[in-house]
Amino acid sequence: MAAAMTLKIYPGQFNRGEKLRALNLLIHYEDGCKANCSYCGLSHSRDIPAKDPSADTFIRVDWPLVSIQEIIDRASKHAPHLHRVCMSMITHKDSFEDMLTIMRKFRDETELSISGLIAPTVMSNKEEAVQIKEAGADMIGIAIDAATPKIFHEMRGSGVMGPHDWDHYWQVLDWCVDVFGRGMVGIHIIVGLGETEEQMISVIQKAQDRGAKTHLFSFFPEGGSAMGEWPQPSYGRYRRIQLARYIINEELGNMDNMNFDDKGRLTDFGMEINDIPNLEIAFMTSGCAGSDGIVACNRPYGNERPSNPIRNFAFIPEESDVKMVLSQIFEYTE
Amino acid sequence: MIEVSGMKFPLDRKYYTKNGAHIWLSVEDDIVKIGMDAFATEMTGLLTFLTITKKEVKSGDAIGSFESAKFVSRLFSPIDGEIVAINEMAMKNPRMVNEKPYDSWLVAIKPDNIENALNSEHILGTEEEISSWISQEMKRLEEE
Repeated sequence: MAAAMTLKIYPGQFNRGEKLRALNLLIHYEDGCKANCSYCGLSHSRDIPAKDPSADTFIRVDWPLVSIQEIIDRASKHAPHLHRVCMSMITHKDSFEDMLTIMRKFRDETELSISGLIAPTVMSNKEEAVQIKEAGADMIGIAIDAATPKIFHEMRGSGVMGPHDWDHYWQVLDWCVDVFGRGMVGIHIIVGLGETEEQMISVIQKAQDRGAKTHLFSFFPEGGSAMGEWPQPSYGRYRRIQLARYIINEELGNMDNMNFDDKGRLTDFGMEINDIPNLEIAFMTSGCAGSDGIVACNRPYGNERPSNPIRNFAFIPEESDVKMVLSQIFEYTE
Repeated sequence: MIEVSGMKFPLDRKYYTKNGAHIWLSVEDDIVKIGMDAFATEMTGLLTFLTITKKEVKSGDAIGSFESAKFVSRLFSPIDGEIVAINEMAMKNPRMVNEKPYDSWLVAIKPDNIENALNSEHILGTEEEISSWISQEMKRLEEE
């Protein structure tokens, strides 16, 4: 939706005048994704009511089907503010080769930096990471999504008759860090799948120690999915994890210095919040950067309705935003 | 009907413009029906939620909101009066407003004073007024 609006395929503008800095593209196959993740709008077992085709969304928005050439042409014409394009694979036997083909086209015909949001399940060796780099990508995203092996297994693996394997995801991550370099690989993690804050921060630290940054998402129930009625995480919880991620990924501190209560809730960041430099940046969307060093994958309103308080700020939060965030950060409602 | 910057504006109704509002008004039997014009739907994108929160309304007051996946704004009343009907079909299926903005009224208002209801500097009706207004709005957008 955001890319479609930016490319003038769909009408509309972003709240607060925000502009999209990266195109997120999803490769489409008629026979769809072969995975069955319980929270995902692409899950092959998702139930879309026939009477409500508008419910056929992914991350709660429409994804119009558009040719690659049209995207390139429109990006050139309508969106000089774009810095990056991200090619998202789905779990499909053709998606790896198709992703490479599309990346090469963007490499040859645009100035955009290129990311690959890869599907480790259809990859089997380190050489494939090399092929992605040769096709033009300089950064990689891996949507691990779940913070613990147990949740991963229950929501993405054999617990839902799905094909994904926790250890294989981390193996592919290690290959990618070797090929692309430390800091050039990011994991996607969804806050609110049933993990504790301690477990979430532990996986962020684990990725950091292995050379990967973390890109946070706040769970948003996808209608018709197995978790369509699941609640979103509280703002307090999300803010604490955002700040912990910032501290860890910016190497201002690490998990060893943080404290948690008996419910696994973060109670102490290991440093005074007011001493954290550029604190407001902690609450911005985390994602692949553009050539200017600023996050390009800014995903405006990707985690909430625009009428609700923003979870991931696609822009530098203003003073009133920071005030709101700081009022939320020590709320313990869960 | 006139067309400005690719957007259509029927001349069988009037348009409320205060504070960036893009609300059309149509009078039928002393009742004023209001809806979103083509500019509003184009700028908002595919509507996902419409809410009406007031019953007694004053000109310029927010009476609810309209929301797309990436944008939200308030819906303003162009007149003083009482909301006597809400288009529940539009509330349940906001995309019908995108598809047919001028067939999709949102609320019907019984004006406090029908004689004065449309007598406002913020309510436009002629081809020249509408054309000039939309051109200014497009220029404002380009400058943002």
